[in-house]
Amino acid sequence: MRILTIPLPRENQFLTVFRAEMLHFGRDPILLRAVLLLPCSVLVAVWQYSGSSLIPAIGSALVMLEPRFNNFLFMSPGEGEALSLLPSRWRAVVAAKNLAAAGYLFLLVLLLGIPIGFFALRPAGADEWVDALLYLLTILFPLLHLGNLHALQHPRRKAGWSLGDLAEVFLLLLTAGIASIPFAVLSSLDFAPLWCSLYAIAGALFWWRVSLPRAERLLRSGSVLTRVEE
Amino acid sequence: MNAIELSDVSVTFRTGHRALENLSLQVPPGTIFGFLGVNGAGKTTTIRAIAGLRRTDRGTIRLFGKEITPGDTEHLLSVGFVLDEAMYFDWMTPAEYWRFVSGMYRLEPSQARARVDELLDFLELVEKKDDPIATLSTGMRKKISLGAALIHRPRLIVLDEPLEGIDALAASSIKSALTQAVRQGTTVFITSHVLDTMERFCTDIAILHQGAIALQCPTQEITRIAIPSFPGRKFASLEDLFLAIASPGRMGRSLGFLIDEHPA
Repeated sequence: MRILTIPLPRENQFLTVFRAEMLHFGRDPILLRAVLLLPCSVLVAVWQYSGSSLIPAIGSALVMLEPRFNNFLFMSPGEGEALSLLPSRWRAVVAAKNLAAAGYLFLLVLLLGIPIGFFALRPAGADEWVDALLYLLTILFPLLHLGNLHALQHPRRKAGWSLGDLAEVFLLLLTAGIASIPFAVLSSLDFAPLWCSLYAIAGALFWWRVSLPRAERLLRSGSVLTRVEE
Repeated sequence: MNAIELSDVSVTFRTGHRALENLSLQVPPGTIFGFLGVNGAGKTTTIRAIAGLRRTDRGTIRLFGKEITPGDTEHLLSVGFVLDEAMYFDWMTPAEYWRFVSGMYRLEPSQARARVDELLDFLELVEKKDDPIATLSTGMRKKISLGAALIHRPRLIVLDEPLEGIDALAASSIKSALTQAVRQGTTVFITSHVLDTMERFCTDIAILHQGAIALQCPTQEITRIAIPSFPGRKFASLEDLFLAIASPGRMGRSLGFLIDEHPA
């Protein structure tokens, strides 16, 4: 008897888009932001401040991944239209792009956290890594949800190095700051890991049940691409 | 049932410019349908409306009898598009892009691999198969768009200036492949400014003038057709007919300074 049915996206479009997103990782010029961000993050890490020594790694990862949250449909200039000319199941496409962004976030925090943690005045211990993981889980789904809305209501043809892009980065960091409030509250409670995990699960359910269908509706209405077009 | 049917379609840009005005058009299945017009006549707007990339003010667009609206995607399983601006993931290589497109069309991986290899060979892109699309020439990008439009063997292929920037050899092969596809029942809807080619290649043509269809007929009737605004006149070729309809007051004009008696 089937007790639990996991509603995976239909067909294999999810895997097709997810594979493409993964393929893009090593070729994304936006990752060149790391050249600037890594030394800055190390400088911050050697500065005496209260809080986790992994904060610079998380901040840097968000800065590098900003377009994947706030402009996911146009990781390259003609991408949104290319997808609209294909029989795209938008829910699967958005889910694949969102989960790829989530994967990148964890990977980049790990890759940046190791060297930053090495130089930090207080090297990151296991507790800090666990806290960072819980923190990322609590902010991830709110960021994906708000990013989806932003990406579909204010799509940019191209994401790069302009002042506008800088403003978008600032917006994402501000959103992340606001999305951090629940973690700040929950982490001060007894059984903090449990509360944070439950909050993250609630966020994931909201993303699946509300955010993805809303993104699909927006894309199916045709308003997103015609907005860029005109 | 027509492959494409537009009924009273109007499109207005945000600037207020009316690009299409009650455009009605029927494209019979199994034809190579040439859609002609001067720059700015509304060809690209029409194609983008068919593709769902341009919102219409009013009117209906039907593909094989099914009305489409922006955001519809299921009908795209049987349609292939090449737009004026190539649309793709330009960081991918041609082979990666076609494999990606195959996945979106839900082709079996083995079938996709075989078709990608055949396309690379047919479109003479084998040597460029590992180069990112962003680094390739305009003509090669057009070939890549064409490959993506053909890979799922669509019932309808909509092509906006598909041969622009493509060398004569490849253009000839592409036309031959499209003709073979039409013999198998596919419909080709194509725009081009090369009227000689269109006259030889297309089975039917329509001329778009100021956002509306000025003339639609089988290509073989061009020399016999009678137009009320040109009583008694016979047209020697598609170019002759096109110029008469699209720009009657400008025929035979020349640039004054080029024929000056005393050139500098």
